[in-house]
Amino acid sequence: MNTIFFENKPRIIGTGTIAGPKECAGVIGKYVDKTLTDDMFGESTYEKAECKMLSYAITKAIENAGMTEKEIDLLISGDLLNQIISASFAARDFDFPFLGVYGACSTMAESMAVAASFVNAGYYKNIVAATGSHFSSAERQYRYPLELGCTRPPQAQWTVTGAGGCVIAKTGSNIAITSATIGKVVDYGITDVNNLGAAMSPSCSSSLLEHLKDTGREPDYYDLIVTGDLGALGSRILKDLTWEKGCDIAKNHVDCGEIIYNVIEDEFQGGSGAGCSATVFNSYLMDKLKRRELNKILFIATGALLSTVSSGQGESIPCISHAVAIENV
Amino acid sequence: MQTIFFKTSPRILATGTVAGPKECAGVVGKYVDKTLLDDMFGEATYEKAECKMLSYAVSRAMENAGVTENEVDALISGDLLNQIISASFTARDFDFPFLGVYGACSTLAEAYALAAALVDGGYYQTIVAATGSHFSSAERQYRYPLELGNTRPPQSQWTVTGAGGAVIGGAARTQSDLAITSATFGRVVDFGITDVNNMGAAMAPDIGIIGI
Repeated sequence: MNTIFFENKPRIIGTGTIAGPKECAGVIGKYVDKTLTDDMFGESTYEKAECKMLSYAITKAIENAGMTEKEIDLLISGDLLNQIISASFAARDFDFPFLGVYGACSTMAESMAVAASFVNAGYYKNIVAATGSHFSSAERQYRYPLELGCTRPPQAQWTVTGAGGCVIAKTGSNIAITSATIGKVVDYGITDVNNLGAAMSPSCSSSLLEHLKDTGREPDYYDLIVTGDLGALGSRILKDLTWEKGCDIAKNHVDCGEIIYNVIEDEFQGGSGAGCSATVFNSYLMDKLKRRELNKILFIATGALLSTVSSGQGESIPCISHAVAIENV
Repeated sequence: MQTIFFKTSPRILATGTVAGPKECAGVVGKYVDKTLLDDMFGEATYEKAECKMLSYAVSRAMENAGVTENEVDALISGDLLNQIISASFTARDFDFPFLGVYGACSTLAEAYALAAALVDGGYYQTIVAATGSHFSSAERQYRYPLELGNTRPPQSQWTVTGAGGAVIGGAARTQSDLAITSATFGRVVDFGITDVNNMGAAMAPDIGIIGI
């Protein structure tokens, strides 16, 4: 069984979010803690801006949780940059221990799952789980210089400029993490690096079906099944893949990437990046949970585990998705 | 408190290791499961060789521990390459869940600590924790093409070509007396060293320790 259960129901007691102007023009705009007026956040490079956003999200989550740095036992974080420098350099700003993780765009769910398991077992009382991404740093690292003005194919996504984090603790709110399904690496042989929605859907389907099997639940147990960044095409593929296995998620599935941007034109499939699910979950969805407009969410962040080198050497794109069940108790 | 204690004493059931010729000429030589005759392990690129070594270490640890793929609950792994591709592509070879971690050269301790916590916490019974590196893939990514023949300053190090992993199991598996009893996750510490050839000085101020 890949699903682990948190009998002590660790709580999400505070969140911190920040996003760029394009992101804030969309649905999360009125829910994030800070809206940037540009992509630089006063820094001289994209990477420093990304790191500063992640650091902000961590600080703000601690503040919104009503805690001080001293009360935090651990930070679990990662990001998309090589050697997860945003997370590592953000961790340097704080005086608590750091556990670096990498799951590409599945990082938010991975961090939350590990944090919940530590708090549930009693190893630590208060843990921050956070991640983020930045459109320009991702383009620089994974694709082409922006100045080249390369055209994007219709299956491409737009990396979110934003960061989000939460404090997970033993008590202090009604919003609990009740279980998590750690994903397997799934690779259906997709090689198109511009079509990560198609690449990731099989791993998402795998984790979702595993979660439902392990919990004995039907999809409609959840008010919402939220995936990270499959995008518009990936979401349709996910619905097909799960339908084939007798699981109908058409009524309650939504994808953070699909909903984050206001205008779907150059973004084509919608948003992507570790910051996509992190900002949408920690701002918009957490607000709905607090108001009890939503009470049971299955949050499945999806990640593509390729690198420019693996693709350059002819490899296909293995992916992973981690599912976390969050419920009002 | 930074240290966490594992009351049920999760055990290291067995390990799996593989290393390159240079490494096996030294002290690990008679202890590793497999000695490679060259750095390529039959693969066409350094990265594929590195991945194959890590995959070997995982398989070998499972074999040495007498556990089948069905019995393994999770793999916890990471490596030095961008996007930890060695670990991720290794995980693709197996049919169990994967938790990717990144701690640069601290990865093995991080993976062992996390594995011990998840087993001690009762979530899983059997976890493989592994990592590896490869001299040439590290040089390619972090430094200069080998063909340039750059000289190395005296404070630099030589990236090991090798991989190692362990099967960590619940206390019910009493076939091993070797237990992980506690772990201390580290804080990020930076004394301001900027010399990328002097990692020893950069890393010394902060070390993560696991008690075995």
